[in-house]
Amino acid sequence: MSKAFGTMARPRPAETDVDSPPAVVTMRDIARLAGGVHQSTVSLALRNHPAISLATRRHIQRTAAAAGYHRDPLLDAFNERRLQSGQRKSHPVLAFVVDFGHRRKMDASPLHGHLWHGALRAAETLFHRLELFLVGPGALTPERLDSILFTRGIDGLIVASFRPQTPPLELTWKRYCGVKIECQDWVVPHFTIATDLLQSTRVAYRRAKQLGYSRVGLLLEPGERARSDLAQAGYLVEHSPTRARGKPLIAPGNLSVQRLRKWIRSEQIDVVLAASAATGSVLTAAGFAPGREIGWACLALTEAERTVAGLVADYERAGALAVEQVVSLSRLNLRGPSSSSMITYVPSTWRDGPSLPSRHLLTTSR
Amino acid sequence: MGESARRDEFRRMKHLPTIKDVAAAAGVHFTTVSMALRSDPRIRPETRNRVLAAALRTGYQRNPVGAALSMRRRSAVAAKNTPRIAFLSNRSPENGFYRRDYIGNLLRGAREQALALGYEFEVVFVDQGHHDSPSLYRYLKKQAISGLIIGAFEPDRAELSLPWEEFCVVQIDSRHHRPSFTFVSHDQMHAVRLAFTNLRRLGYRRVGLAIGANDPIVTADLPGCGYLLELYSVAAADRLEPLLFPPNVNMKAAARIVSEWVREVEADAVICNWMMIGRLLRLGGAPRRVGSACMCLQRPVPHLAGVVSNTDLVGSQLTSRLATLLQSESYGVPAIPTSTYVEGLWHDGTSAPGRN
Repeated sequence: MSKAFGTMARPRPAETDVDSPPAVVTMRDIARLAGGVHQSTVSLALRNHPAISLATRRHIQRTAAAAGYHRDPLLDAFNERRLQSGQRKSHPVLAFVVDFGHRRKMDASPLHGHLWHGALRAAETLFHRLELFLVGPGALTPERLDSILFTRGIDGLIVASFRPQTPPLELTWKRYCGVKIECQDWVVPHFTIATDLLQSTRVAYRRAKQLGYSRVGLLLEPGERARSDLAQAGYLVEHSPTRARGKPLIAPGNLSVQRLRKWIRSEQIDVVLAASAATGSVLTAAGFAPGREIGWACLALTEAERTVAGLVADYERAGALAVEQVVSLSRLNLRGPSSSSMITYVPSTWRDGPSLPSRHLLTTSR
Repeated sequence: MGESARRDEFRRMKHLPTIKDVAAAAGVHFTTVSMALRSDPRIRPETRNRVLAAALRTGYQRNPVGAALSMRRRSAVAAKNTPRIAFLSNRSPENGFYRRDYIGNLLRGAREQALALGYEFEVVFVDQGHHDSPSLYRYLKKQAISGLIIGAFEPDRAELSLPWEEFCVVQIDSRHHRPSFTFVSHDQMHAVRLAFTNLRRLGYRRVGLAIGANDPIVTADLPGCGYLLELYSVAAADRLEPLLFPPNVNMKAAARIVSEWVREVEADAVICNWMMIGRLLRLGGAPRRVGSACMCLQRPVPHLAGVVSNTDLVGSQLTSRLATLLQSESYGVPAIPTSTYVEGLWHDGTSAPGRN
């Protein structure tokens, strides 16, 4: 047994040159090789920091590569452990931006609550601090936010699910490692975290069929092009129009109550799928009690909503992913527009609910 | 100590045991434990044996981070064991792994990002003449590799079965792979839509989609979803049923199949994931005016219209996601795997000239 542990004994320093591993290439060496820059310049350049001119950065990065310098993940991990013991006083700050005029309004939105808590936890794990910024009427203008972030040197930024009526946030994007949650119709930031409405719609469609529904209607979201497209694609692939299941029953979400009633009647729709949680009350206003006269399933529920059947989105995970993404961008100092847009989908999980009983339990028989 | 009592002891232990736990179990001071584990001659053999037994019982392991750090500080030599990431494929070089053009870009993106983050990167094959699952497992353990990229595992080839809870895993494509892990890929739905709308812009009216039969399985049918969505926006008369090439079809047969299909459905343009689509149409004798576009080009090519994938970014994202998993010690199969898609860009080419 002692033999086994013997291998863990401290290795003696190598005595011959032949056996000794190459000496560590340090940042000091790179500083010297790069023509006598300061070590801190090397540190910044290797982190791709924009404070160093691009030419110098490239020069130092090439020198480092040629000299065989590489970042040491063990040291990175150790540094994070060291931070964990609370020796470091300030963590880098990430901005979590919402379009509410007041904190109270954000707290009233379960979606944003989940996003915030998920982001908060991930920030803690990755040794960053999350700070809330309110943009909108009665709060910061985009220009003001831009200048605050600049003054405070905050470059990590999360746009947390702005509502569709809010125009895209105008910031000096090239300064930021930015990620947006939802807001899929915006161009920048190029990195997006969103709920997987395509899969959600497929799951909901299949579940409705299982429960005996035959005429599945899809209501799109007004003003949300990309989300509507995803829901529509999910619907179409389940509906398979080319395999003669009849025409797809898809309507824009901003139908008036009268036209909604007419659509449901004339198409004999027995279940409605929609991403907007307000659809239940719209159906009621149109004269169809959800769960009694018509089935209704929501494609993007929050955890707390128990009366509606549908897909519960994991918004905490979405918030956490946004933080992970921003941190991994800022670790390599990848700011501003990316070479491509990229989207990460967070899947949702199905939950049955009283708004979608078995088809035969509906009072209406069509 | 009895077996059940020992289990209880483990259960009580919520954190990883430290040398202080070993010291308590052996009834000695923790510096004695430290010296005993390093076989310091100042510790009597019987004490050392007692400490070793206690270390085994508590499940104490040296913290590799601390150990590596202190060892290197003492000896100031380069670390021998840079953490490594393995990219796994079930198609070996003999079976054409490196012949596939996107592999080069993918590996470059993944490898460069790995180096930037300080990981070593290697490609390991699970195929005939290479590893099977048990030998792969032994190899990974021996090399202390815990970060895996499941790289484009193809259906109908060798499968992979590992004790996943010992690894951090991400995957590209291979949607059929079970279990599912954190997923990164090209945005194929976006690519088909981009190709479709651009062909329409160029004046083509009857745009068809032709893909391999395995593709819907490997891609969760995302190209099909994009295609359906675009079909829905055009007149019902212009909606064509997609063509599925049979698996492992040879070039001659593919040329015949696609050309017959083009004539039958009267397509005036074809979107395909193969770069040779233009050649197939010529070879099969399809009408010359039929345009074609490839939905996963690796670089802009003048003679071929299509969507250029950002495969480098897919590769670097694979590594980034994996590094995040390794750093947060997220081992095993995720409860909710996420999917990340990277969009491509459209490029005009002579295979689809404007109709006017």
